Amino acid sequence: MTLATSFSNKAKQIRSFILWEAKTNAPIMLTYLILLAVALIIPIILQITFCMSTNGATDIYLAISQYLIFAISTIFTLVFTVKQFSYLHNKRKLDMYCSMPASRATQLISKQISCFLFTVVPAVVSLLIVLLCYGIFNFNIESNGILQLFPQLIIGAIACITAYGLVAICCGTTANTILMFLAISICYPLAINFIDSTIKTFFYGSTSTVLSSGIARILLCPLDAFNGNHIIYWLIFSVACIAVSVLLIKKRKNEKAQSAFIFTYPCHVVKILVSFIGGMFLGYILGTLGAFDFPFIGFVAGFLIGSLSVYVIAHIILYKGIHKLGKSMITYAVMFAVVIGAVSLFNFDVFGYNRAVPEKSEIKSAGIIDLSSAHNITTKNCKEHVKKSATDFDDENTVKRIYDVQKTMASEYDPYSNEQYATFWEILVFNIISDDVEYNYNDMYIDAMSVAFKLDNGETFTRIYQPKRYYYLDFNFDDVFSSAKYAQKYSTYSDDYISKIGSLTVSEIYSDDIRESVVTNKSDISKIVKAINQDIISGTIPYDGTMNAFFYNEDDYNYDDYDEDNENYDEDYDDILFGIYCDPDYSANSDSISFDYNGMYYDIDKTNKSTVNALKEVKILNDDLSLNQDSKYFQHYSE
Amino acid sequence: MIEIKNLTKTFDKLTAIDNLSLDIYDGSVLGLVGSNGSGKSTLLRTLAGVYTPDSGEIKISGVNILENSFIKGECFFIPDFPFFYNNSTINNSAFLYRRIYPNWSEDEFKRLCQIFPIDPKAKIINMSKGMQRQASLILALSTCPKYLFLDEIFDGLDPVMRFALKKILIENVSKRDMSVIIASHNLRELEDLCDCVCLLHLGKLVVQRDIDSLRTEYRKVQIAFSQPPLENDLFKNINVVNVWRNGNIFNLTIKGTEEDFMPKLNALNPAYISAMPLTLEEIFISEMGESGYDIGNIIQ
Repeated sequence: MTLATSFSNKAKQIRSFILWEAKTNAPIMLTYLILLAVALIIPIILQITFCMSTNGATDIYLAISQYLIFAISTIFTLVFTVKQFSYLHNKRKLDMYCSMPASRATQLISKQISCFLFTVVPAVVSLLIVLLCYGIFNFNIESNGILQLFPQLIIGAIACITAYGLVAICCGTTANTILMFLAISICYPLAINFIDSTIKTFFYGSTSTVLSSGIARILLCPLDAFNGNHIIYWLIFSVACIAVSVLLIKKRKNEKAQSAFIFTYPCHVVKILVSFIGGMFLGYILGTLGAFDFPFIGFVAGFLIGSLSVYVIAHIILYKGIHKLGKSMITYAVMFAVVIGAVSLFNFDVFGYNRAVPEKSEIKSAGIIDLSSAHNITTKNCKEHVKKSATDFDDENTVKRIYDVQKTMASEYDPYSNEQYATFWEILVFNIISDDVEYNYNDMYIDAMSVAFKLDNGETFTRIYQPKRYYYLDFNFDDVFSSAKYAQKYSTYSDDYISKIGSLTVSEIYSDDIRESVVTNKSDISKIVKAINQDIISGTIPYDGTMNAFFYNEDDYNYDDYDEDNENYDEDYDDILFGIYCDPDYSANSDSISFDYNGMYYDIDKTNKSTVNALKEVKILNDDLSLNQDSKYFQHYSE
Repeated sequence: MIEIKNLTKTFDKLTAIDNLSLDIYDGSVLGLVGSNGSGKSTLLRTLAGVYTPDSGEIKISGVNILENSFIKGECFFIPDFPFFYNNSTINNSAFLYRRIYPNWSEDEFKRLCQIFPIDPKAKIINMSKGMQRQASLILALSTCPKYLFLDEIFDGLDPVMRFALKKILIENVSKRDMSVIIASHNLRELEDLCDCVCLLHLGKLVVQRDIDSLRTEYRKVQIAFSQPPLENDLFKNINVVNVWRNGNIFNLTIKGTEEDFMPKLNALNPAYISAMPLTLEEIFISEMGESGYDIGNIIQ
């Protein structure tokens, strides 16, 4: 009974605080609502005025609404959060709140809930209004996009509010709280990128993605929660933040939170993170430049200068002076020793990773992939594909040639060269831009080569090499890359790639009107592309290994260029009947057909028998090789 | 009753309250006086549960106030600079207080709103310092606290409002047995209001006495001689706290009762002698002087 009463009292107190906060924050909430209203109304007016009949444009206006609502909500989440938790750092506010008959935990939770409600409720209401308006005006909307904003906003707000609340408890001033929150949110993923890139730089050819992908990269970056990924993690993170906050707030000494409380711990984290980044940055610059004629020494000097200066500056900012600097230098010294120790071990290849070559006699099979032209290999599935490639070739000659590549690369490793330090930047940039996004090596124009060996003991030996490391070496695998076996696995007509094709458009090329059949049925697409594959294998569609078949990016298409590339083009020109365009990004719900860099284009003539037969089989072509106008896929536009 | 036992509160290297012990009985009005930085405000904040004691304990009605919502509901603290949000009004603040404080009285709130000439719908932040104090008092007294902690409450109040405040406080003390602790440098006002005074210096309790006994303890004596006295140590047998001489006239502050020191002074054959009680301010200066905090030490 006592517990129940106590709980109901607390609930009443929380409710009272939230209502009161709502009243006191009314002006800022009004601003928020006005901005949201503008974000909503303008696109709707534009839609009604100009585009009621144009279905395709609807998505654009809807997208504008979504992004504006999202951006405004994110900014106001941070504004509300900073404002709400400032009571922990303002002496006058503390006098008021802490003397009130409500426990600190109750007040903290009411602040967190009010923050959440102030930011999320108006945004959610706005999104619902958008949906309603589009429903009223009978606009054809694809609702998934807008609906996915809900969890993004909610989870982002929860993670940021709870994380900021925890940092606010640890800090004595609002300025320090903001600095720490931003420093951790920005520097943590950056530091992980630096560590990951360092490992990839020195564990040359490693396919490890432990740090560069998944949750490790965003562990301490609550701002990332607004992306709507890793929802379960962010929920656990938020619950943990609330639990720790409630524990700490009870022990917090308001009057000396800045000097005597837990403040020192997040302070150490922030100083270590920022000084690590500063040190690595300058270290790699001097290492790349080969300072002191010995890149490793250049790195050490750069790391020392960069990290020490950033560490001291960060300390001065957080502690408002050099108070306690001497004592905190122990932490810096530990960090310095760990980093330099690790980099020296890596640089001098103490683990023998860079010079490792499998025993030739133990190799069962091997594989090599030109990742820059492998259409089905992405940053996410790369490791898996490279591993699988170990069984691609088992003929002695190919295996020996691949073995020689690894042997040469291993022998080329030089700990006194600045090559690896220069490679670091390439890897770092790649890591940052591919953060949580699945990029295709081919689309990104990233030149890289992988080798893999299947050993007798069942183990697989893999390495991926960046071009900087092998460009000057004379490896010629054109015959391997242009082989049908290779093409079947890594080209656009590999099963992986075919499964990603959303639409296939068969167009009459030289017609005044646009006459085409847009195939969206997966089974029919697969049938046609496999037929194209057959024609490439039989040689009727030329395949030169580097262009990855007789097709090219739609956006790059240029007849003049084409003439230069293929002398026979003019002769074949008149024979071409159809262009087949495969679009992996085609959405079945989209109102328009988009052409982008990922699409592949094939020219088909009478000699491409398999393709022509497949087109007939799916009833796109008539027997006279004209487009079947009765086909369910047929479309006709007059110019 | 408020019991403070061996309370110590430090800020880094500064000891704001040093092993302080004090009992405050229900229905009393205690004046906290002391030098700047003597720990008055710190003591009030610790009493209100804003600060956590480093050592020692505070019990209000036999219970530790820290994190105790029930007992906090019986207390109200008005700091030297009360906080109000930019758009706070008395009505708006009352919205929260009436839900949070268990003893909130709507009648008292209306009555106080009539007594203090403030618009309850006006933004408090735009009001003068004195009016902000009045707004705080309206809210504080409407919660019907059993313990009221006031820090420099007279600051900014005009004489009429000071009088009104004293009247209201005394009324509440007599009606509801409310205890009030007031920290102030305005000793004149405390003199009218307090029945007990607590003098702090450098975080230590110098003296705690009820105000009547404190007044009888000190006497201001003017003594004149027809001939300049030849003795150097004229008042050696008397507990003289302070001496100021102008020719043959001596102004003395003497600690003790008239029965004790008058016979000794008369024995010096003065031409004129008169004794009168000290004001609280004069007692404060005398006591602080004894603690080494006198004007002579400050301005050498």
